Amino acid sequence: MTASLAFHGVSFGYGDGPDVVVDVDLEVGEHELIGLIGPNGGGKSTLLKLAAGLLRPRQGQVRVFGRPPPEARDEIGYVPQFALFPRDFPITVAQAVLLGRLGGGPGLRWSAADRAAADRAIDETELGPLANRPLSALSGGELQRVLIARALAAEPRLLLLDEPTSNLDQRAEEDIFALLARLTHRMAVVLVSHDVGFVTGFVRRVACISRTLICHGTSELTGEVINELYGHPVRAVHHAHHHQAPPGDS
Amino acid sequence: MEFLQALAEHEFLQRALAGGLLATIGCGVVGSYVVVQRISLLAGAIAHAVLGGMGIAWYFGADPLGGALVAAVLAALVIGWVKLRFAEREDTAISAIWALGMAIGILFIARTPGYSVDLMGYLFGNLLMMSSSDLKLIGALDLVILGLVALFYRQFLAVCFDPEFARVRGLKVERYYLLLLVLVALTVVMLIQVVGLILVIALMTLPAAIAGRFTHSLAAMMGLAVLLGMAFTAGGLAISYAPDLPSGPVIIVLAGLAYLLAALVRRGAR
Repeated sequence: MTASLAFHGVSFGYGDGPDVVVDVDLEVGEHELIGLIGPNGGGKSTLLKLAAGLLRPRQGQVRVFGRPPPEARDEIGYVPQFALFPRDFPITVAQAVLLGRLGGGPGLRWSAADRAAADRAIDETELGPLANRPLSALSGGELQRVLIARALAAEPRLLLLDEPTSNLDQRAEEDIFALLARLTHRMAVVLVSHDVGFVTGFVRRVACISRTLICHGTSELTGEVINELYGHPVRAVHHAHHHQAPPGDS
Repeated sequence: MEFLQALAEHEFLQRALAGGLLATIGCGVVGSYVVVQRISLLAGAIAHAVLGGMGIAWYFGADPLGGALVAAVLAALVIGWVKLRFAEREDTAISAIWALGMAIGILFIARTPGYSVDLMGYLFGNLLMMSSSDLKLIGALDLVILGLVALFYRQFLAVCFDPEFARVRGLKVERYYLLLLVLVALTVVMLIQVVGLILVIALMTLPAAIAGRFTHSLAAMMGLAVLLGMAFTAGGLAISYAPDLPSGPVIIVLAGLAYLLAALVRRGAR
């Protein structure tokens, strides 16, 4: 069975700068809900952008259902960090969700299929009553659901989310995770978070990223590992690193 | 009303009003993109750089508006390229293009034999000098602008709203971005006669910025921006006529006052 998302020996850096992620190997199953966690600047958002095809690896391969991300873009739903999202754009919820249907193809208008898919996404994220509201009138949790609905409108099989619950109150957080758990019945969900404690309660598996993959699996995620991950990221590479490529290429 | 009487009598005044109103159509549409994209600085640079093309055209005896058209599109593409490739030095490079275009224009105008160019008219507009060929040019540019916006409305919306997401969906984001800047360039050329190169940014952004406060979709914002632009242009022309004031600055002052008023009204409503 092909993995929904696979990194094979992936390294990446911006411009001429040093590598920000080094030699990452990771596979995500077809219906998995996995959290990428790690300190700020540890490269987890970079991994998500590599998966979305927004960045290309310096070394190694990224595969989405066995293909490079740009070729598999119809399978990918991308949800950017809503906390950084500008709210003052003059657009309604329904219009924003419809934009998820836009591809590289021709056509002047939205088709009936486009509208039906957007409506389904709005229903699934329980945005129906807000469909004609402007984005500026939404709460943080509502905006997050709009961005998820926009990604779902494209009917992806791999959903990528960047910090989906940062700055949300607990109730809104739980709603988002309940939604993501439902979605795993038909797609893989990969989310980035710096909030380890919260994420581990919901996802079945985590991958800790601090320049490279330090550990994965919830069972390994003891308090000691978390401390090292956040307190001493460099030493943590040596301690928790059992099955990765040998050091030296970092 | 002295202005209405004069309007009925004088053809030049009718042309002035028609040209001003026609120009604000494209202006409101493209200005809305400028406001939501926050690219006023880029639009300003394109507008000012256009003087280079006008000066060169004038020197070689060609139509200055033709020179303006070429220079505007060229400036838009260069500025877009700088913005996309050298994002970290963007503001310096863009300011340089802004000033360089103006400097080149002034040099060529100074060297043109029989110096008689209406520099003030280029810089601050002169609606009363609107010729029937200017009217045709403005009408044609309106058609091009509205045609392109109708064709790519969804793509432009996606690129302005969230370029990163648009890229994941496979849109050629850079291409649409450059095309939008070309639309800005065409709009600048339309507005030269109305308010002049220096005041162009104000007429592009103020009506759209006011409209943005009261609308919830880009299309509605464009519609309201066009109506407001028409009101400012017609109002400015009417007010300036009797005391014989330059119409361009009066139009801009009206737009500026309305912008302040809208800001106060919205604040009061909260």
